[in-house]
Amino acid sequence: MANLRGQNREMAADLILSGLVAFAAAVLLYGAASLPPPRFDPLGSAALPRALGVLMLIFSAIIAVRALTRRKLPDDDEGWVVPNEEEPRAASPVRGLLIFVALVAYVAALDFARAPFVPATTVMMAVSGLVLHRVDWRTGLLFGAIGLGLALGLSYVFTHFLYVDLR
Amino acid sequence: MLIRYCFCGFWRAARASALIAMAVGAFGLVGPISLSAVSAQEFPSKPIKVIVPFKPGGRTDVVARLISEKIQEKGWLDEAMAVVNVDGGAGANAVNQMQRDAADGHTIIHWHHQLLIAAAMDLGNFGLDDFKSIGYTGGGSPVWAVREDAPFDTLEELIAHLKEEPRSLVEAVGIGTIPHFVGAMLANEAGFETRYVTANSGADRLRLLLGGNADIALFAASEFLAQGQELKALVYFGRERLPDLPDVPTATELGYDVTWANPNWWLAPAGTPDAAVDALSSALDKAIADPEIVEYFRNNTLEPYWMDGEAAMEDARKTLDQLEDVAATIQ
Amino acid sequence: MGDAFTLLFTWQNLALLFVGTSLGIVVGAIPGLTASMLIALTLPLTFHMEPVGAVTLLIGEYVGGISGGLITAILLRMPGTPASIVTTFDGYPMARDNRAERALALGILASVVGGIISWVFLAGMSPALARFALQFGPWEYFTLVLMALVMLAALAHSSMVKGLLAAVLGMAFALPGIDSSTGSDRLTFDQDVLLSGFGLLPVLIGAFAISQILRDAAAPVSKERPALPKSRLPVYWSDAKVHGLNMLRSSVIGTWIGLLPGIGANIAALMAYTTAKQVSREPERFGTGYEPGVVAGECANNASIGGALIPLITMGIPGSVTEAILIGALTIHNLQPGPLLFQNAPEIAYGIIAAYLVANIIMLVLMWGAVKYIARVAQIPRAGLLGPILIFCVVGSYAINGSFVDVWVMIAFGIIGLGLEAARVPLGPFVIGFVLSPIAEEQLRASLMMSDGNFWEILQRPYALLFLALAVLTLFWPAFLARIRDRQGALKNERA
Repeated sequence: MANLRGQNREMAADLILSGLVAFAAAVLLYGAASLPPPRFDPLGSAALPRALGVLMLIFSAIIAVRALTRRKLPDDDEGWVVPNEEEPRAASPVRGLLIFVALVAYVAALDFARAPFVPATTVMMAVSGLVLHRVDWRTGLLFGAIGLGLALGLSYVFTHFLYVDLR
Repeated sequence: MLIRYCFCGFWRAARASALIAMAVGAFGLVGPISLSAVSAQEFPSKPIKVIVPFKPGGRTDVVARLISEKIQEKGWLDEAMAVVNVDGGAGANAVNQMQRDAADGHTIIHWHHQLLIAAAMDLGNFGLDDFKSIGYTGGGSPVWAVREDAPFDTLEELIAHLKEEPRSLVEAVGIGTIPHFVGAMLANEAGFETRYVTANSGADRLRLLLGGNADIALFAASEFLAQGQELKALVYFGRERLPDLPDVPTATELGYDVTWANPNWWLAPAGTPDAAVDALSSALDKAIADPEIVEYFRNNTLEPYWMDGEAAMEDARKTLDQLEDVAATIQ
Repeated sequence: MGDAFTLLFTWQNLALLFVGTSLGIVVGAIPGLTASMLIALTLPLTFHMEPVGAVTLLIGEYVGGISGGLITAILLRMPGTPASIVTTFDGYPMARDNRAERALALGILASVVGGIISWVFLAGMSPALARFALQFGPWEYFTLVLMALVMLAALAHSSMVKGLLAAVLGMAFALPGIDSSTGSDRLTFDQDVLLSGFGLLPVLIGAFAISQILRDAAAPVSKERPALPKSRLPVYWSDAKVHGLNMLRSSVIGTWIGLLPGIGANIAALMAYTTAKQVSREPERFGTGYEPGVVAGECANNASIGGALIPLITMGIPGSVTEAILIGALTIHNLQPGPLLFQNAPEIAYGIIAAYLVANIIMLVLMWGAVKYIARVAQIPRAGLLGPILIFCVVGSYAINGSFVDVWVMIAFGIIGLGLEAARVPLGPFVIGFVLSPIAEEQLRASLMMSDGNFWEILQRPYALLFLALAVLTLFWPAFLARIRDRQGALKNERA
């Protein structure tokens, strides 16, 4: 049962991959169409984008066909990589997603809202602690404190020695 | 502690930027409230940000740092000057960064004629009209060199060979960069043609030339003096002969109207008030006459001179016209 | 050479080497954090250092990062870096068998021996090879890089289609920017920010660090605590006799595998392990806690660093992701690795070589003395690590150009990396394709410029032909091998 689900998941992943690759190939070929003809060498700027676009289309087709026709998982895949036995037991994609959202919010705050570096970093660290460790005020405070120290240290080093203005 | 020792070479600069940071910090505290008052005050009212459109370490960066430090040391401006490196996008990133700040003289760029090439090649959405020229603080010129064992001893022999057998020699250039444009200007003027091979840096050009994969390459005079033991220079593109290379003729001497003097060019955004530009140019003028700076320039085959903003802009426009002619043949 | 050592022995440089090596060991020991991640993150810090100091720091991190992985590989069966995967095969069973101290001792010793043997090759071969490589022109560089690309895509993963797809995707992402063969923009879609293309560091930090952090954040918390080593680490004089030959063989294999561009330390370790098993009188004991297994893997993965540094110094071609970053570090200091590095900046060329040797010795001292503490550091709760690393990623990407564009690029490539891994597309060829394809394209087009468009000029270039032949061979080797195996199988079946 589990094996079958894994198979379906892999098939879906392959089909999505194939679709995205085909899309990227289309963008590439579209962009290459407006490039000037060769000038200094016979290949010109457009040759590699075109070749890569075509290759991507071919690979995308192969992957799609394989995903649809394959019945059994190849078991020699990555034979010598250490199997991660605990993986499915307590994996929590939500935590990964939350961290990602926090990261985007943090960078957006720094970039678009021009939030000052030190407070933003403190908050970011506190949030990461709450997401990754556990949700209680002590964790938040502890990680916020670590974040404050880290942010002060980083902004000191960067503005004083590296001429980078972290704001 | 450790970090301090790693940067010991930059200790002075670091101390300087500590001052800047403090100044910036203090400014930040007063911040928004006094902002309107500040703009009416005299220039400069806060540290000046000097954007260098290259990674740290190149000539443009070093000169910017030297001159900024000198101005600060002597107190020729009331505020510090902080050099910021903004690399990438053929300078477009630096121009974008400059335009994000107010055009009040507190954000300026230190660049060279790569700006003109970017304009001639239509890279990035900027042109000369986006800038107000503060002035040139000196500059340097390159040489054209061949291998020591090459069968030519003068530029005439080389050109004669190329006229007899067109495209028989390979020139190492980065397409659309200064070596390419300078070589093409000479080729147009003298009426010859070479084949090209891509080489993006002085190190690449030297490698191709020494390895026998190219016959001609352009080098900054300082590069040639430092690393050109197995090369010989045929022509110097400066206006006058270089004291370090007394036997190398200039192109003008040989009857070709081609000069390339790549300046250290200081630029402000187009809308900068004249008072700020004047304050900056008088400080720069003094800096380039300082004995220590002059010595550095002489030791690095750069000519120390001052050309004020308008003269510099006029010179640049003339060069741009020439470059556009060459660019038309490229694109 | 002597000068290089005296230059290196200023105490600032030694201190940097020490800091780099210890950072590398700790980061290498922590599963999920790799040497390339560490180097990418510290690179912005080196912008304003003296070039020798910068290179020293990074070499220390490289050596430490590859070595540190053995600790958790042995104690926890979690390779700290991919290079130590092989070490889990026999190291972990040894630890289970109450021989953790012995496994660690042998692993550390083997690492140092591997490092020193490959250093002999590095120091002995590089200057001569650099002189030789000076005659290489665009044709040779093009075919060499092509060979690297093909080898990596073909060998790094069992599914060749996905390996090649990864390389092609990486190449495609390297396209936007100024085309160096025409000087004009290409595929920038009129966006100024794309004029300089996607930066190497934002792409690397995104693809490796960000995607790894997001994956780690989602992964379950491991409850297992390692058995920390209790007694001293035992080595005996007899080890020289018992393991000497294996060490020498594995180190030489590691060096030569490392020398081939594009193949990483993990493949080197696997090759040495397989060879050791094949020539062993007791092959069945491999994988059950057999000492030569640990020795082979750890010799080879360290030796591969020395090997990989050879093409880096002599030709400026990166053999791995880590080396691509090292080249980035050198170019920031206006130093171009390549045949002329020995002439133009001997202090750097020999400095790298000297630093590599000293880093190995520092690594020995540190790991020998502090293995207990390092094992403990590797257990810092994940929550405490991931947050600060995320901050470092953001700050590091921003610091490269002082621009948030790079930070957004980093985040985007984090997602791309995550997606690719989810679809089982390997990241190694993706990044190497991204790094190498601009060189390959530029050199091919330079060759054609030089020859006035005549591709057949390659026939007058023997070395280029050799590299091309090797590339073609690599591409078809697996198919060829499978064919032979089938035929043998068929023969056997017939006999039976």
